Amino acid sequence: MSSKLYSKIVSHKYHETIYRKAWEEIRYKAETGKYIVRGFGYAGKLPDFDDLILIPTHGLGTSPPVDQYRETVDTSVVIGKGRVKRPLVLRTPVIIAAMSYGATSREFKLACAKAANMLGTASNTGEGGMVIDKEPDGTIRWTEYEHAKPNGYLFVQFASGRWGVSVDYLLHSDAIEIKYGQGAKPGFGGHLLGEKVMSNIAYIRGIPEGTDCLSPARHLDIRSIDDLKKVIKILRDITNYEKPIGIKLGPGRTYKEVYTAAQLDIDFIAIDGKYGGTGASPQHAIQNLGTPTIACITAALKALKRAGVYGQVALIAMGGFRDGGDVAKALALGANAVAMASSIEIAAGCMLCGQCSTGRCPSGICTQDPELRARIGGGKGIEVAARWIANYIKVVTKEVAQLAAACGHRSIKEFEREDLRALTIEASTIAGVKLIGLEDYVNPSSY
Amino acid sequence: MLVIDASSLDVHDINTKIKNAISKGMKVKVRNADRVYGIAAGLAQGEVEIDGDVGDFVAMLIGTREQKEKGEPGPRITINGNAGNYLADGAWNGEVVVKGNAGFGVGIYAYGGRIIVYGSAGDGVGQVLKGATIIINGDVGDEAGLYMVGGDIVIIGNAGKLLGNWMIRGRIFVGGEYESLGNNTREEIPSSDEREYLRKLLSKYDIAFNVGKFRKIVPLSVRPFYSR
Repeated sequence: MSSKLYSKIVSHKYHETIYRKAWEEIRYKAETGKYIVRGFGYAGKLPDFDDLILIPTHGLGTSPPVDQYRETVDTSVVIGKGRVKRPLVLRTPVIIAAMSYGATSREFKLACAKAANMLGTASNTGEGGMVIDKEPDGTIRWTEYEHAKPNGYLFVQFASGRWGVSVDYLLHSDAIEIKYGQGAKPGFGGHLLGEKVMSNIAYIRGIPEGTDCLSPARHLDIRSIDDLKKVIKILRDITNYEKPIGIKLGPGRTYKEVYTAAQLDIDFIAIDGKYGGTGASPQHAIQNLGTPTIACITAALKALKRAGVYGQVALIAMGGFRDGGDVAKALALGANAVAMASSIEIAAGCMLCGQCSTGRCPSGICTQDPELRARIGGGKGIEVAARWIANYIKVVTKEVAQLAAACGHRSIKEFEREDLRALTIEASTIAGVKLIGLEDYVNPSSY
Repeated sequence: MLVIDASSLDVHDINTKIKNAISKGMKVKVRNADRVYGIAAGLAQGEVEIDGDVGDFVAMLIGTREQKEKGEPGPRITINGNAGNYLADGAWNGEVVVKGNAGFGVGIYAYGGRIIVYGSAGDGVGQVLKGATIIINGDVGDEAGLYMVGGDIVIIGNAGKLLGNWMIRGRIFVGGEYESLGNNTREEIPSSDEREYLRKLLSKYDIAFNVGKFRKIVPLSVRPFYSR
């Protein structure tokens, strides 16, 4: 005890305990009596696309690589083909995922729709209704939808709060996504803090200004599969069987839930993995609930195949996509398209400052403050933000095409699991991919 | 008037016939609809009368946002019988009248218009109600007004458990007794203006009731959630 080193040693050991990292959070909860609500997504490392690698071909008993500089790779994706009157014909497998107007700004939503038009892909309203404007005579202009035209598409969400959902909203859309959950907070419904419910958001959502906006954890009018079947049929009727209708799930009990959904009359299933983001979520949900994206895709694929609808019902993967490598790997795992949100925000100027839930976003994205909103596109406006998003998706699409070419594919639809190897035993088992070097499945029953 | 026998038709057939007739200025009567759901869903205008009982999701999403904001009239749907679950779910405008009873979730999510049930209603009346007016001439079940953010629920009879549970805005008027109030609620005496509003509203639908008996349930806090 007499040595001066004693306190140093003890202090170091204390700092290496698991409580050191938790200290601030414990004190915050103790001092405020509150839990932590924050934006963005899971912090930490889950088994993910970095644990998988694509393996190219050389044409020796394998298909020859496509010359990526001279030859073309088809990057198109069709959703609802042969099922609805107006299927979506996307020029890229990258879709802009659901982010609500309310969580994000009008300028950002319009930049997303505009980028979708520039690229021939789709954007998604999210669960807060659509950005609309009123003419002096009271006529409504469906501004967000108009921004996606003529080359882009707009998904509209039909979520448990039904904010802004009307017949005219459903008719000014190209596809309907029935939201059941999201990656950051599966099982929690939706949250928009009152600070962000300014006059226009209150108007769109039909709620008083400053109200905390809560989407219930479940659809209050869908209490059984039978109710869901009825709702889908009614949405088909209202939209005259023209538009794809699908279900978005958070990362829950993916196999069982996708298997159940696959037996309904739907055209796509979107599944958001654990890296999926949020404008505001309780942190304990972000960190503790869900399934990694690579596991979601594998489980969903198994379920679609068992239901006999793989290839008919499109699988859209979400949660943690950053580049063409991630996208190509998801396609190889069996997804038909991917949807991105966090990366789109970063493309539009997000600096990862962590202010999403407070509405003080310095980049004009996750805010309703007019001064902050004016900072969209680096202060240069919607056009610039749209160009950044479009540039980014264009590059990602190019990356996917080049990786497909190296794997010997002339179309991204040719991606297959054999294009992949797992770098870790965990990823091999979770994703059902052969382990690199071993050239076999670690657990043959995993896929 | 077009008379539709719904017994062998599905929802899309029926609603297509209804819309076609209304576009020609005709009124519509539907018969044998007790097994059919979604009748008149998404209807923007016109008059539909349903003879006998009807299934779930009748008049879902009727009226349009634009119409409501311009103050234009919406569709009118009358049910001369009982209605199933989720009557006028998500409605924006118009009027839905049920002569008999209604099931779970009357006026759930509804933004506007009026829903009048002359009999009693099940659980979940006006959950996440946003702006519609719901009148139940009889009793209601449990958790009426859950998460409501606007609109009025007028209950002439008795209410079940957790009336107005976690309501955020809006008003519930109850003429009879309730089993229990929900979280974040407070009982008040309606003002004279409110009593006058209720008197006029009920007389429009020939409902005789002493409005002096109404009690009003309103939210305790307008920010009841998050880290409570």
